[in-house]
Amino acid sequence: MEKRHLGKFLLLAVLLFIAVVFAILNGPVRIPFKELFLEGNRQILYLRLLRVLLAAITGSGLAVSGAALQAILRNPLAEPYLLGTSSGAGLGAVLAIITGLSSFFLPAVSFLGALVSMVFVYYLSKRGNRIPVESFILSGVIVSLLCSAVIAFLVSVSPNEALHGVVWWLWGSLQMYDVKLLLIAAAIVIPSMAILYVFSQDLNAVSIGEEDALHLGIKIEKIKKIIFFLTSLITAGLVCVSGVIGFVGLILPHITRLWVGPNHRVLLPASCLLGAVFMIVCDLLARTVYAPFEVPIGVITACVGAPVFIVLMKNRQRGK
Amino acid sequence: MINIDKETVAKYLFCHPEGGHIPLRYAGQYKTFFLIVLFFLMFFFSPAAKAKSLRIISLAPATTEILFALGLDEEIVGVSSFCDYPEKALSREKAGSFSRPNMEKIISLKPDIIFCTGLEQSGTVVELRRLGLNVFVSDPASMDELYASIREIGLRTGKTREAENIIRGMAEEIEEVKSLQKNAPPGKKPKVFVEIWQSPLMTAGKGSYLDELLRLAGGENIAYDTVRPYCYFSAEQVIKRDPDCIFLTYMDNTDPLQKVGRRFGWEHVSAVRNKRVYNDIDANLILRPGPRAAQGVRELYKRLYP
Repeated sequence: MEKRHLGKFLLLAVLLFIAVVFAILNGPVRIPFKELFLEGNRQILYLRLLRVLLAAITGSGLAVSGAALQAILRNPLAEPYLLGTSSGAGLGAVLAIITGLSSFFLPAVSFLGALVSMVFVYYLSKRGNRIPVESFILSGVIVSLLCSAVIAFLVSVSPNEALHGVVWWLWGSLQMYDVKLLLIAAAIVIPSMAILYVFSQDLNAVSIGEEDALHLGIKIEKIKKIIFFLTSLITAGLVCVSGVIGFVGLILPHITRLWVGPNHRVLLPASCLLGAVFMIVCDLLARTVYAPFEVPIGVITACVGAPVFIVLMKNRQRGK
Repeated sequence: MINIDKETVAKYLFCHPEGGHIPLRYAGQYKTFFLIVLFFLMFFFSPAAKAKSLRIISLAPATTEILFALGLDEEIVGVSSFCDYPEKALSREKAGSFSRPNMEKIISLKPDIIFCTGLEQSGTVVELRRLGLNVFVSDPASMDELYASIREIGLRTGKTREAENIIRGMAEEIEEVKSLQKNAPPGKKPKVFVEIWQSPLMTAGKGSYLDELLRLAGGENIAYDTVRPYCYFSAEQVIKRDPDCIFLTYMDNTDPLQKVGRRFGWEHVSAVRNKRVYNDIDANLILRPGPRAAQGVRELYKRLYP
């Protein structure tokens, strides 16, 4: 069964390689290939490398956690930001700025905010020992609405004009120039993705239906909790570095599923690779289309992703 | 490369074994030759010296104005897309927008110093410094701070004399406007409302830079008790405090008097009744803390004391 998809994975790996090379060779400043590796352009090369790595991690993290959440919530609209982590991170960031913490601590505080909102959603949605899917989604939505309201309130009453920058930050951007931050995010996201992969067989069972999974002897509540914490951890780690980048976590799992099928043992690694490729390409477009100005990355992800998704969906309908 | 300055060249040439033994009567001829050689050497090395001049990027429109006023036309290699004055700024390389500068572009311009502003660029400043770039933040919130900031920028760019000249010129113009106010008929100062934005209604209140300009121009800001410099202001408060004069600082094509007069309850405000609603001052004169501030004060004065 795995062999059937070997070609697809090879193709993805080649695409990833091409995307990385293109993203490093191109940028808002045009530098010929030979000169890029000279001493004088070291910093530019370094910036591009950082961005490509961040894009890869963000894209794969969002795509994988989106796929896993869609499975456990059995909801095609599920995405990494649905369960409140991003708004919690935003609230943390706003609080960090208001209390005057240096921007060095901003990612740490927003990560903390994301964790707090995650725990909050967890206890809000718990019914005894069970977590019904509907109450999961509802608590996530309520917590994020609450957090957004508090953010809006704080921004409107605070005398600190720097807060207007937060709005930008929340919209998402892959402009990040700190290696340590990238490494920390990678240290959170990559192991979490690996653990998610371990549970891919359970995800297969859960996505069929909770009843059926129970009959198969799967500890469904435990799986739900683990997946929830892992995906929230990934989202929290990504949000506090690159803000909220929409569309990727929602549409990429669908695109991948249409392409490789619903088996999570294939779906998760495939969406990991495709997410990375997609994000690197989108970021490349975001920083080169209107250089030296940057198009918000969310605009590009939607403009590139939506047509691809529509074409795939129409094709499948015709195939049936 | 060997470093050769003029003196060593001269010494070497004059102490040359042959050169040293040149009979006095020929010395004159050789001297002209040496001088020509020297001249060429100087000419040859001068572009190298010029290329080492300061490379400046300014991401703040107000600072860009200051830098051009200091005569740093050659040195300014990059500006933000918001830097639109003087016209020369438009021809400079764009290093991104005001709130989102492009790091790659900035690095490729190889700046010696980057001028930023405080508030919205605080994140940018951190990022630029993290990349090891030399950043100078200038964010004056009053005339005194503006003078200090011009002085400091002059110091950093080796234009101290020019900076003092600009400051003196501005101070003189403001003094002149102040002395003109003495000639105005005695009575209460005109009450002013400044509308920074219409929806929501926003103004420049206590402690703001614009508030100080209004005071210098002889006006009395009706938003004297705001909690922060730039903030929301209620329409009720405007009607109650009844300003004699209203300034709109944003671009709008509709007639300002009609626009404001149409608002419910505003038709009885003195400024509307006496047709003293203005939007014809270049907003950059009064909003940007730059070298044109004194000009802005004069424009305000002209409308406060017609």
